Amino acid sequence: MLAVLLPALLLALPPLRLDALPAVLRDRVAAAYRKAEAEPARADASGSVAMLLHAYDQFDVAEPWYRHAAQLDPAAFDWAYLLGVVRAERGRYEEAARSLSDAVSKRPRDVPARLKLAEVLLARSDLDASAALCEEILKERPETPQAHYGLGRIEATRGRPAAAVERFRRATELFPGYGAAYYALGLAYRDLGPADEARAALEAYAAHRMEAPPLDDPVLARVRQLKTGALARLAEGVRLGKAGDVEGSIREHEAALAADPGLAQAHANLIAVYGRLGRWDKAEEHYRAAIALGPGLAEAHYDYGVLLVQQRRPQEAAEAFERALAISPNYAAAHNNLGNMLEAEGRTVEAESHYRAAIANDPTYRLARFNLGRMLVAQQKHTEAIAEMEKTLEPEDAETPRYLYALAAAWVRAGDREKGLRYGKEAQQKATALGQTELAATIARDLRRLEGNPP
Amino acid sequence: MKKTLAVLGSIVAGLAWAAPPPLFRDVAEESGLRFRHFTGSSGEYFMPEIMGAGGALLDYDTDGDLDVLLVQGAMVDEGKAPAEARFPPASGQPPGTRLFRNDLDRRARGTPRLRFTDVTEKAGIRFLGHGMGVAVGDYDNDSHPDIYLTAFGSNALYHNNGDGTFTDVTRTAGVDDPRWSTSATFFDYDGDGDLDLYVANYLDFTVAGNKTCFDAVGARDFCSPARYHPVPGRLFRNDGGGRFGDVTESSGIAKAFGPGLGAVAADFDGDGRLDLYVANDGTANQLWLNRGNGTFDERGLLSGTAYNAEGLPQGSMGVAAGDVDADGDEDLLVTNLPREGSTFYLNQGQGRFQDMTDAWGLRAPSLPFTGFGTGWLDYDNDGRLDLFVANGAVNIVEAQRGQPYPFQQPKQLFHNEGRPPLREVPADAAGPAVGLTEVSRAAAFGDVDNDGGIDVLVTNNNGPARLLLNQAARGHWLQARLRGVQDNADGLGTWVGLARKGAPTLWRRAHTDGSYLAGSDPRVHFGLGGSTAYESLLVRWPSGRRERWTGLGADRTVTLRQGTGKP
Repeated sequence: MLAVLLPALLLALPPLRLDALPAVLRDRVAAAYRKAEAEPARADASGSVAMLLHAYDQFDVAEPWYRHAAQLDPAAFDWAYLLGVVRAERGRYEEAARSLSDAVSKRPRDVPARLKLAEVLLARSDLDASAALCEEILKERPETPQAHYGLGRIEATRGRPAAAVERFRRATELFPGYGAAYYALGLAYRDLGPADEARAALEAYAAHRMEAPPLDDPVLARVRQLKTGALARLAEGVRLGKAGDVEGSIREHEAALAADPGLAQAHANLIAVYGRLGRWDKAEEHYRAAIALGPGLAEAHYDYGVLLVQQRRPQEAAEAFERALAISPNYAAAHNNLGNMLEAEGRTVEAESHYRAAIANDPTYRLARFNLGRMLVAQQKHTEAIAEMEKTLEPEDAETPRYLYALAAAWVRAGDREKGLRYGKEAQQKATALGQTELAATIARDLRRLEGNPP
Repeated sequence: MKKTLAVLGSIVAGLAWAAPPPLFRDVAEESGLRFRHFTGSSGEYFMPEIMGAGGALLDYDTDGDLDVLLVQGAMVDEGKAPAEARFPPASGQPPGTRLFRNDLDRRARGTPRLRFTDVTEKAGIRFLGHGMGVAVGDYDNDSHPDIYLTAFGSNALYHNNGDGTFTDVTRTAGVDDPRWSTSATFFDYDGDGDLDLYVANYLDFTVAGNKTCFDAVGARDFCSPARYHPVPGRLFRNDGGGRFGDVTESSGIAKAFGPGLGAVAADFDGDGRLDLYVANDGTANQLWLNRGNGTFDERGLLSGTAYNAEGLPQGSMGVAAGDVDADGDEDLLVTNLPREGSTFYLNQGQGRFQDMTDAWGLRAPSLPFTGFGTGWLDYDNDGRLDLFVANGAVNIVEAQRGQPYPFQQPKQLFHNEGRPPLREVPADAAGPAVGLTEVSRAAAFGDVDNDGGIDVLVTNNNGPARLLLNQAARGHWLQARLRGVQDNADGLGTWVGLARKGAPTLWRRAHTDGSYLAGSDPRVHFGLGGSTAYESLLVRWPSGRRERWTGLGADRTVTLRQGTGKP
């Protein structure tokens, strides 16, 4: 039995059940534990155990180890701070506030510790104390967006939307991508009355939803760096991919696979990542590897299908989309793309049913509605076609001119030249406003032709 | 015997040394409510295994007491037999969803005695799929509640024949959805006097497409919903004659969706029309405001109920609507994942909400838990809505790592003190049944023994159903059963106010929906505190018709038939 329960001689160390930890973490924690055992009086030895557990979200187990480290070295900032952080994670706000206050007393000018303490105090509804901390930070560093945001939250809780607006606005001025502040700003404007400002702030929130101002927190960064291994690399690869760093994403994915060649998801992700670079051979290689490891990965088949479309291999692409749908029959994008393939082959009835299935499983899928609308126009089913195309107009974004243009064409085909002209002009205006010059020129040319040929 | 404060006061004086009884006591086993949920687990961490299942309190035989329906799971991988399951079905546990008749013994001396009898076969319910949730509503207004069962697979509508039996009318009614459905709600969105049906759908998970997922330390675990695509919910309009039409597109409900888990209908903007709130797992929640012309506007973001105060989407499993601060509008509670905590949205009027979780003291106590079923209930009849949350993890609980089913968490009860914050009732006071760690899912609320105290039915994933009987020292009470004539028969959606002299009117909505995968008692319940006095009951039916009743008395259940009140 792997159980390594606390030996009787080391009762001073907190309990740790290594056998309960998965193998990936067990060896590392065991090594740290042995060091703590060998040097029971050293705070950093116990703190290392805590940090490792903390890095892997083992807050319950980490807490006593931080506490132990803080007892061994009561003057140290790190242990008091990290103890406060894990207590806050566990919702033990009163104890968290104590630990964080202790940390702040050791480093009164530390911004992350004070912000964390302010956050905990807000969660405890101790608004005055939280506000005082934020104000104190701003006196020293007036350009700290998080402190303005914190004060805004406090004002909003106190029912003072005007004051909250000022704080949230300042936070977004200092960090123009501050998603949470835009969200709060939108709701504060809503409470004040100006609907347009509320809407604008919420749109900015939608554009920056996951962004937050950076905070230099070297202590917590040390904890985060401890999380390594295949899954951590995979997660980082995904993050980089979303951020547009394709090379970085590939590096992390390949590193994840080097650490764990059986990680089917890493292979599956790399199909699309390599595809973005046009490296078909690598994409294909990872597709083969992904389905060998996990034949049920519908996305792998789908992404591979997309690559085949890009390589003008429609028959194989259709087969890949069919494989995706065999695994996941409600896969809207696979239905849509298979519809495209079938339509190109002239199998319009089947194509239409796939477009309809795509819409049934994702009614917000505008491209599928557009495709269905096109097919219906071709079948002279103008009323239904127009109804579908009208649903492509929301939300308004960069695609809207294109969909308006299609709707205009549908109205013309339906025999309503006036509506065709109206939607066409709107499409042209929007395309111009969005800088889509080529599209705007095409629409203008069609409009001239239409205006020049009255019925 | 009425368990009023006055009566208990004299008992307590005589037995000062005795500890008060726990507020709730589990009577499932002793009353014959023997049911153990089967997850259908084959060790592959199929998501449907961990999400179910539901339960309902309904008076299916209209004998005046609440019966119990418990939704059962089945093998998620249909290619395998139950005997191959990681946790095979309990011996003696018949397969499929079960209906238990409440044979409440009113002749017994002292408190009424509960006794349940499994009448599933006799009632004609044969639902053997991997069941998820249940919605209860009398869709054909024949005064017999019907049942809609959701599943990982095809759903079913069972028509109550009024003679103790049901008929599966899914096909003729046109309300099936073969995708993974979760919570559902019957509500009359178009105000035409019959109940329509909203069905929340979750993910496009399939057994063939099951993904391998890991927890923070790299151990195999259930996946996040983000690993699959969400599937849109559906709105069915009751067209009469036992048929429904799919109005998902035409009503506007199709314009936004996420992985739906919870749903509740209420009038969130105070315009007299029933709106719909849908809780989506890990994505924006939706608040569909009813425009009164058969269509809805999605106002989650602007209402402040799409995300928490920080603009973050949350786990969003269970939902509860209720007038918590007694200001005449309905507030919202959404249960979430650990490290998120439940979120409490205080209604500020006209469809504007503010996340007041911190001020109401709910973040810290809910932060460690995964909340599912939830509801506002006045358990001590003091006139204020308290809160119950059924917890149970979907990912490994660290302290239980290595145990066979490491997802167990306690249930929680919070007392409303009349002003924030809510106070969590300690487990020793709430009772061992509340503090017991289990993998709880649905919570349904209702007065099962008709003694004026709200009881709670709790379902447990891979565990037994619990019936938490309310034995708190309670105030006086009044319970109203609605009988719609122009409106739906059970008056679901009706807004009922108890007007009090010198105190704000208490407002409650007749509903069976909310919570998670659950169906609750449609009767409206008012705690009256230490006095039996009140002025009147004000009733606003879903159609907008208003009536008033006086002189109804206290400590009793009354029936309010539409058209018999004063204008």
